[in-house]
Amino acid sequence: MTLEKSELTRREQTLGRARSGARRLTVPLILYAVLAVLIILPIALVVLSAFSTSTPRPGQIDLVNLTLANFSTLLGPGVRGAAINSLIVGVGSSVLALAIGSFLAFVTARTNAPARRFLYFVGLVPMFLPSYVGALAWSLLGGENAGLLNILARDLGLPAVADIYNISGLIFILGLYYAPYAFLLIHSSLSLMNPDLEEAARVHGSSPRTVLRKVTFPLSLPAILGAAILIFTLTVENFPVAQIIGNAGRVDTLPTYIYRLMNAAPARGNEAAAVAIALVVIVLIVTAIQRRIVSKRTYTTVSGKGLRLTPVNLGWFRVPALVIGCLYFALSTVLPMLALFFVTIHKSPYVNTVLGSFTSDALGFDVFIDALEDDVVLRATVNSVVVAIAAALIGTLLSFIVSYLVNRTKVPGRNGLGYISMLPLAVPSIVLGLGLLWTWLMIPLPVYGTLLVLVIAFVAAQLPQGYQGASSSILQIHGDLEDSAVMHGAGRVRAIWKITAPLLRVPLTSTFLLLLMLSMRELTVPLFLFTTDTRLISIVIFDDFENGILQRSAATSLLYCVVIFVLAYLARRFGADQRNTR
Amino acid sequence: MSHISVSDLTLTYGDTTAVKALDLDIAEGEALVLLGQSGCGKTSTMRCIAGLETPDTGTISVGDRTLFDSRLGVNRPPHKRNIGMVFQSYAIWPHMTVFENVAFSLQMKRMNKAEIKRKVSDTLEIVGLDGFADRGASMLSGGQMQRVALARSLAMEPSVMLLDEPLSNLDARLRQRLRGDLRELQTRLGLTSIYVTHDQEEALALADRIAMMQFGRIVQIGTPSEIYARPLSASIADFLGVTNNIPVTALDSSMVQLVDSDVRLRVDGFEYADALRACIRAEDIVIGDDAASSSENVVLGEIVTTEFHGATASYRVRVKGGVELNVLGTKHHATGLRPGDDVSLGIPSAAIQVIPLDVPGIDTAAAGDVVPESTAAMGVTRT
Amino acid sequence: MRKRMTVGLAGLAAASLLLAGCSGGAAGGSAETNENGDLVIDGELIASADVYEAAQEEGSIVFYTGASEQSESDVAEAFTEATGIEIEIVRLAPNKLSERVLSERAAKKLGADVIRTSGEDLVAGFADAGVFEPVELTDDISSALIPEATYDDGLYYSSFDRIYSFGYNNQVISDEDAPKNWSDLLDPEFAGKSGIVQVGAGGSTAALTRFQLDTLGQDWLEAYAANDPRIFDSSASLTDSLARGEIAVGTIPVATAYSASLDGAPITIATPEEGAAAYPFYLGMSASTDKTNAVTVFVNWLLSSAGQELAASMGDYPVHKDMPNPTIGDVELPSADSDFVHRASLDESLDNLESDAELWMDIFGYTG
Repeated sequence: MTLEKSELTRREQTLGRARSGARRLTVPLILYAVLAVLIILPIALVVLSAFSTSTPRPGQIDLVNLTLANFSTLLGPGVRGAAINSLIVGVGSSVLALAIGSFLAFVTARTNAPARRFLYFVGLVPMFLPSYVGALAWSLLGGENAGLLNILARDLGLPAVADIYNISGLIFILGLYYAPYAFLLIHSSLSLMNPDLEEAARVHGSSPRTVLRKVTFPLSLPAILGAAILIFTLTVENFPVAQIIGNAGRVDTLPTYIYRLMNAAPARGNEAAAVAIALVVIVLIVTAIQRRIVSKRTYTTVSGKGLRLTPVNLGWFRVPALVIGCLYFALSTVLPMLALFFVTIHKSPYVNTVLGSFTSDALGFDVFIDALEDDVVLRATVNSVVVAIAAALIGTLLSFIVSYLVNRTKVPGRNGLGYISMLPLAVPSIVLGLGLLWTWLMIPLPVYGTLLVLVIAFVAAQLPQGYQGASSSILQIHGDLEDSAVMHGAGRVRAIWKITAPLLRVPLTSTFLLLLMLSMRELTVPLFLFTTDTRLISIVIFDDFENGILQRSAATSLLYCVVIFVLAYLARRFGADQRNTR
Repeated sequence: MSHISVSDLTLTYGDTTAVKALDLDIAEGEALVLLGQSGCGKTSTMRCIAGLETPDTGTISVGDRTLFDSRLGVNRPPHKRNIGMVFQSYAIWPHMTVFENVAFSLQMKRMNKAEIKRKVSDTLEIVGLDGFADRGASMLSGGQMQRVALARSLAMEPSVMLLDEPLSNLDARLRQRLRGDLRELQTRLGLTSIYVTHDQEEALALADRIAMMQFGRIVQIGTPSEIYARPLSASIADFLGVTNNIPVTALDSSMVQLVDSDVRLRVDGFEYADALRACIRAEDIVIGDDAASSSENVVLGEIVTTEFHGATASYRVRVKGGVELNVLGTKHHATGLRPGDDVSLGIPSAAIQVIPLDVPGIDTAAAGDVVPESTAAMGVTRT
Repeated sequence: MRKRMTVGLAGLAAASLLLAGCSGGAAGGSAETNENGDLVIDGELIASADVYEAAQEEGSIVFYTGASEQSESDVAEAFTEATGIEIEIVRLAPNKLSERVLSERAAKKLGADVIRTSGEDLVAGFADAGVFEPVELTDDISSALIPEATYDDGLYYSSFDRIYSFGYNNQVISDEDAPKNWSDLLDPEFAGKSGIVQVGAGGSTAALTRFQLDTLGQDWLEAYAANDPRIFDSSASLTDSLARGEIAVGTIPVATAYSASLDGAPITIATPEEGAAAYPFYLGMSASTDKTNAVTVFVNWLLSSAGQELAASMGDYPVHKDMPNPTIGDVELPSADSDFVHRASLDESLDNLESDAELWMDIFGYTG
């Protein structure tokens, strides 16, 4: 002891405590500021403009003219119809996606069906196809009058087979492309289930069928419900598919309605914001229901060991199961890719005959080559890759810092950081995009119109996924490992760098790759944010579609799929290699 | 100089107080065990000394270095305290070899390579792991991990060693052997050490002094034999393995009566308190025919259960008024006595300690609210 | 291979056809300067030597346009051919263009050097927001313009009147079944096979609606709606659907459809007896451009006989005096003062804008 307590003045005491208090608060305060700008402000602007008479623009944020008039839009038949459609579409496509996903998951995880590895691939692949590329392809395939399927049917002397431009078509496409989410969630629940639970049921006298009904199915119910809610929220807020399919079929959903209000001349941003709030409310209600249901049913059934489970013998159904899988593959991937390819190489936009095209000189690679050589497409591709990599890097870093603070420290207010990070999950992309536009128009930094604003938008929109990924990986690592390094002479930051970060390399890499894929695919968030120089490949596809340059749109889509598949392949390889290093 | 001095240490988590105005002095080279149930604040105290928790008030110093002083605003960061710590989970870094683990603190000190190499191999030899240097840390057994953790801390030549439940993750046989090794090493190297454990046997074996902790405070401190012989409260006695803690009321200075019963016991004198308990070790009660001859107190009862252990046998005996006593007898008794038999029990007055339920002044209301200690094994998270 | 060659040749032919409009002086020449270095085309002074020289220095300009991508890229190509100045086109439907321009302008981030759009309300909104800055026209050009083409004392100009008519897919519909007049479109055989662009898309659809209500009558619009047409967000996507045969008939801006047909779309454009809607495309220089000279050259060129002849060759009505009637291929459209052209004044347009839109949405059961 060097100092007697009595020698200390009160002032020194307070100073000492204040200093250490301030140090403790620096990092969380900075993070609160960052998240406030990234997430809170955009949402706040949407809410504010829903109650205002003027759309936020620089120097035009209006706190005076508060009104409820915008919400009268909600009472109109338009919004009511759109809301009902949204619900129908959400429920319908969730049911379809769940049916497809759980069937494939069950068949691949738990049965003796042939070619299960292939079926696993089949269940996963549509995940990498952006839903709007699927929608684009299906609008080529399934148009009532000029859909390729119908033209082919006509070639073969058959009646028309498809009509995609209606609410069933919308449900069909969304169900098709969101099935992989159900597939992945249910597959992992089925394959990680503790076999003891089923064997116990067998021992106690159940037939295999009863085990499935009484044990397996109830045990995977949380996963099924979780998938259902996830898919419901994703499809309800899905904009591009609803726009491509629904618009032509005159099926409005809430997101397309918001988009239309935003694009009306003059823009009706305030009403759009009011509708956006209605959409957020729907998503919040559903999420709340999910939390209630799932929290009542947290069975600790998953062993996590991936033990061998006894496969269910499908018997005569083995081959039909494979056929159903192939059918899904054809509808989700093969046909759409072929359609995009066919339209791209068909010289004239007008396709009179499908079969005839192969015999006449109707095909050529001009459009495809033109698209690949097009400056706009090339620049957009570069933009996409740059933005996606930057957003994934920053997003992973930010997620890591936030989840470290939440899970590993006791700084005041850390839980709030976690909640804010999860907030974008409840905010539909189109609403978030709107808020981000207004935010970055208002903030007096030269960011709007640069790639940076897109990076920022992606980081904000994908923070929940990043935060979840980073948190679950941080939680896998015992805090003692890092504390131990600190005790052995490393500073906190150094300990994170030497111990925690290396141990988290693999899970953080997969978080990074997840964010990279999400950023590559995202269309809705940047929809209001891009400018001429900062078009992304997803935007070019959508713009070309909207501007009626369908062939280039199709060609770009193909290029896009190739880029995404390559990234996904690299991701898998890269991820797998990393796992083997130690 | 590395005596430890802790005074007025208080640590709160939100509304709950984990450590309350705690004072503690540990002499150089002494091994002190913080003993108590999970949640009593022992790990929190240790983590405050380590610097992993920031106390609300108090001072902590090692030798003449002040590590923490809330009034001066002194808070030396943990990596500058030169305190070694063996974590309950061992916290062996799985992505490094044994050598890299042990060399870590030396690298942090920027020692030159040759010296690190020498030092690491010396340390590994001390803990009996010579030849393991290049082994990947994830390939070690539990006992080996414990030794690596020890070596890793020893290598930094710490002024103080902290060991958090160092043996709890090992199986019983290994635990016994390593306990001996640990004690031997500590005395040989003259390390000032603080152990944290909830295992009384471990505490008795490792400690020069034991500090019993309850509800964030030290309720009794003394040598193992002192504590074992004279616990200050029934709850301490219970924790130390005294299985009979019977509520009694005082009749006079040498006589108590069991609550809800007319059984009276002659005792050797005690201090009056509100809630008195008669604490009797099971092995001190004489069962069967010798009962009357050997003891001042003879109680009649009926055997409820018997349990045969080999060399010993234990009985649960219901005496008048419904109180049940645990009795440890020899294997000779086991053959004769069956559930339902009537027996007489002899209890020597010297074997009965009449003490209060709790040490006066501790806040039992906080029980159960205290933040759980790190009892988690690797891979399990602290909440 | 042979086929590809012919397509290439056809494209070349189409391009030269378009260029024919400005080939009076020196066709295909990049810089037609006189001895002073002034840019003179067809005897008109487009830019004085210093402006032209400075324009060359400034390099490529960004052109925000609400007109169709295909027709504008033909224009850009011809301009670059004539002057060597590159044009970068950003095409958006006028309503989206408006939102983009206003947002960017407010954020001081306006990427456009020059803007062309339809929509009286939209262009007025631009003028109010200070988006435009006057362009200095050469005497040759300003004297050649019809008086109605100049707005706000030269803050912006009308660059041509586009015609909104209808067209059909000539591979789905044979010549004898082809609709000739607006009344033919009501034929039940087109039920579910017709298309129309939503009224709020821009000045084009506002003008079309005005014409339809005014000339054809509300009954006609109701009857058209009864045929369950598909409703599009922009004329560009309607044109694409028409080209692919997704719809058989649809209302289309003539130049949009014509440039699509030059690119191989099987669309035939009708010149109905009842007439058709004309709507101006306004042109102005962005106040935030730093390429004033290049934009000045571009605007002068667009309004010159060279630019106007090109417009006429795509089916748009010029604002330059003494220009030929527009043509679509072999078909010459009636003169600007004929009964064919229905053109509402600025005030008339603005007055009816909202009520027309409401009525239209009501008729088509379109919400938004």
